[in-house]
Amino acid sequence: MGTGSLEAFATIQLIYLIAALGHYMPLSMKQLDVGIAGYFALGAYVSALLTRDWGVPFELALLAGTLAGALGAVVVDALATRVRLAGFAYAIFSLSFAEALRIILNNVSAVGGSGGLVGIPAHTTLPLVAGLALVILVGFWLFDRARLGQLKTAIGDDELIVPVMGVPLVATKLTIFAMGGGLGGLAGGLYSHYVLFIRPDDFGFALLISLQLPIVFGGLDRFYGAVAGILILGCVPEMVRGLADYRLLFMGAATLAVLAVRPSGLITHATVATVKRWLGLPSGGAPRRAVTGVPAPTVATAAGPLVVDGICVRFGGIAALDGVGMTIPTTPGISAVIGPNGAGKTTFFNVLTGLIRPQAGQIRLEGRDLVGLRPDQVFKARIARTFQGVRLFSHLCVYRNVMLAARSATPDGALARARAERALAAAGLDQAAWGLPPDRLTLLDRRLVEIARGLAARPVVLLLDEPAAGLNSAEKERLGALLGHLAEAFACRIVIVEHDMKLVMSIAETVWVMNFGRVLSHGTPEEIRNDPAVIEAYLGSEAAHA
Amino acid sequence: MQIFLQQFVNGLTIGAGYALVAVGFTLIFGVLRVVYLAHSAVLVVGAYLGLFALDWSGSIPLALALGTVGAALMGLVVERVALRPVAGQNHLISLVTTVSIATVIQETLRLSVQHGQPISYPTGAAAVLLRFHLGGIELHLTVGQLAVMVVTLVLVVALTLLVQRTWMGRSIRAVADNPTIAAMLGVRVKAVSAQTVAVASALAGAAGVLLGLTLPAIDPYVGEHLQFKALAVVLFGGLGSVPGAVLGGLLLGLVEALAAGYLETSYRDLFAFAAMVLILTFRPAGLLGRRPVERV
Repeated sequence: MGTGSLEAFATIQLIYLIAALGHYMPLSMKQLDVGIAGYFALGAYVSALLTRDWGVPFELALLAGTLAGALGAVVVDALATRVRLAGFAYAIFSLSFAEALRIILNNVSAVGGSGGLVGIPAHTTLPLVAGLALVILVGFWLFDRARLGQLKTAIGDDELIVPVMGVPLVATKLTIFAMGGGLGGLAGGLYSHYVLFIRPDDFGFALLISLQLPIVFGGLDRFYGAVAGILILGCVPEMVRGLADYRLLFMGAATLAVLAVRPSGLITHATVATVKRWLGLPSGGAPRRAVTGVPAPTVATAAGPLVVDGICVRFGGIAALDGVGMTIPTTPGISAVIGPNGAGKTTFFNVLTGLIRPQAGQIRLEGRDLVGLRPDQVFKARIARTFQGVRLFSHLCVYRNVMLAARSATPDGALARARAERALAAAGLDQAAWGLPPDRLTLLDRRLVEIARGLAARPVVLLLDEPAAGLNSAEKERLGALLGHLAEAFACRIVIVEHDMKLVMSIAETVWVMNFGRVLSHGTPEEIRNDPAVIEAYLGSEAAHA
Repeated sequence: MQIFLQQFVNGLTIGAGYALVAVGFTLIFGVLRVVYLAHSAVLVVGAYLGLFALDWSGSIPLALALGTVGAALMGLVVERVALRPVAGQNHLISLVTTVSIATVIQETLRLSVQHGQPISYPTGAAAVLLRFHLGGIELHLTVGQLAVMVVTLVLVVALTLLVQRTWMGRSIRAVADNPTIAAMLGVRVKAVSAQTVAVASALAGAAGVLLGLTLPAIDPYVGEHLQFKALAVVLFGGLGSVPGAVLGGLLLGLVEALAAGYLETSYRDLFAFAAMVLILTFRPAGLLGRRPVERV
C-alpha cells in the first residue's frame, strides 16, 4: 500500500468514524433512529452544492452541511415522536426516510439525478479530518461528564421517569438527535469534498451497514466502543492484503459472532469497571473531596396548601379517579394516602405529577393551576416524587442520580451540588456509596437514594409511592424515623402511599382513605382507625356491622 | 379505459409481490416482536435457487418449489444464528444481527455466483404474452405475471388456513398474543418462532422466484428496495396484521402502476413512504392494526 492510498484510507476511515459517532448518539440513548445514511447524504449534497455552484467558502458550506444533517434528524425524530412510534416502528420509519431521500435525489435533475454530482472542489485533507475527529472525541469525553450526556444515559435507562426529574424530555431528545444528525452531516460534507463525485446510491443501505455494524460490534455503552468498532471492522479488512473485497462479509460475520457471545458488544459498562479496578482508578462521577460546610437549606415553604379538587380520570369505561379532592398542607410534616389495591392511589400521584392528564378537576398551588402542565413543569412547581418499586437510572452512579434532579431545580451548578450532597448525607447514605451504581446497594439504600433525589430538588411536596414495600421491620422503623426528620430538615410535606398501617399510623399527621377512585375519609390516624366506612372498605360490610 | 384496466392488472401483479413479502414480514413482527431485516436476503436465496432449477429443468413449478423450500430452510438458519442467541435483547440488537446475516448471505452470493453480476432468468414460458378480451378491451399479461397473481393468491389462502385452522396456526396466534402466557400453557415458544420464520421465509422465497420471472435480471441485492417498501407496507397496513399487509401491498401496487400509467413519473417509488407517513399520522396503528403499535 503506497503512501497515497494509505492517506486516502485513513481519511475515509476517519470520516466514517465521525459519522459512526453521529449514529452512536441516538443508539446509545436506546432510540432506534437509523436514518444516519440520510443525514450523511444531506450533509454531502448541501455542502457540495454550496461550494460547487454557489461559491460558498468550504468552511461555511461544511457548517451548512452539518446543520442540514441536524435538521434532517430533528424533522424525522419530531415526526416519529409526534406519531408516538416506538421500537421497531421507529426503526422502519427512520430507515424509510433515508431510502425516500435517496429516491428523491435520484429523481431531481437539478442535483444531478442518478448520475450524481461531479466536479466537487477538493477541500478535505487528512490533517483537517484528523483534527476534527480529535476535537470530536474530546468533545464526547466531555459530553459524558456534562449534564446533557448524563441525560442521554438517563433516557436510555428509563425514559418514562426522566420528565419527572424536571427535564423537558422531547426537547432534550431532539437536541441529542440533532447532535447525531449534525455529525452525520459534517461527515457527509467532508466525504463529498474528498471523493469529489457523489451519487445518491453511495448513501444507501450499504453505508448504514458500514456505520452501524462497527459501533454495535464495539459496544454502545461507551463512545470508545464505536472507535474500537471502526478500528477493527473498518480497518482490518483494508489492511490485510486481498481482504478488501470481503469487507462487508467480514463485517457481517464478525458482528454476528461477537453479538452471539456478547450481546452488548466488545466494550461494555462491565468492561470499563473491570479495567478501572485493575488500574486502581476511582469509578468516577462522585465528588472526590469530602463534603464540608454544606449550607443548610433556606427554608422557603409554599404560600398555602396544595388544593386538589374534583379530579376525574377515566380509562375507557373505568373511572380510575372519580372526583378526588384533597387539601394537602405544605407545612413540614407527613401525610398518607391509603386504600385497598386499585383504589387509584398511584393514578392520583401520576395526575399530581403531570404524567396523566385528568379529564376534569383542578390542582392549585400558590394560585396556579397545575393541570395540563408537563411533568417537568410540575417538577419546577416544586412537586417531586418516587416510584413504586425503585426507579433509579442504573447507568448513573448514586451521586449523578441525585444531581440530575438537583440540577433541574436550579441553574446554579454549585448550589445544585451542595443540595445533592446535603440530601444524600441527610438520607444517611455513606459517602463511599456515592460513586457506586445503584444496583450495588441494598433495597433500603436504593429507596433512600430515590428519596434523596426528590429532596435535592427542594420540593414543597414530596410524594413517596410505597416507600416501605419489601423492607423488613427494622428497616421500616429506620425509614419511618428518617422520614419525620427529613420533612423537618427540608421543610417539605412528605405524602406517602403505603400499605403498612403500622408505619402509616405512627408517622402520618393526616390520612386520606381512597376507594374506587374516591376519597372515602380523611382525618388523623386516630379518626381513621375508628371510621366505620374505612373498616368496611378494608374488611367488608360484615366486619363493620359486627 | 384500456390503459386504466391494463395498468390495473399490472398493479395487481406488482402489489401481489409486495403483499407476499409484507405478509411474511408482518408475521415475523407479530410473533417474534423483533426488528427483522434479513427478509431480502432470504428472498434472494429463493430467487437464485429458482434460477438454478429453471436452468437445470426448465420447469417453473419446480423452480417455485425449490425456491420456497430452500428459502424456508434459510429462514430456519437465520432464526437459529441471528435471532435465538439474542432473544430478549433490545430491538437494536436483533436489527443488527439480522442485517449482519443478511450481509453475509448476500455477500456470499455476490462473491460466489458470477461475481454478483445481474443474471437473467432463462426466457421461455414466463415471457409468453397472453391476450385476454374483456368486452372489447384487449388486456396483455405475461405468463410470469399470471404466475405471480395465482401463486400469491394460493399462498395467501394457504397461509390464512394455516394460521386460522391448524394447531400450528393456533400456537402462532397464541405466541403473537402473549408469549409468556402461551409458554405457561405449554406452547413451545422457541419452536413456534422458528416455524414462523420458516413460513414467512417460504413466502419470501416464492416471491424471489416470481420476481425473477418478471424482472429483467436478478442480483444479490435485488430484494433490498423491495424490502424497504414492504416494511412501509407492514407499518401502514398495521404491524402484525396479515390482512393489513395484503391490503397494503395490493393498494401500493395499484397506486404505483396507475400513477406510472397516467403521470409518467419516476417518483412512484416514493408512494410507499408517503403513504406510510400520511397513514401513520392519522392512524398510528395502521390501516388494519388492532393494538397500539407498542407500549412505551
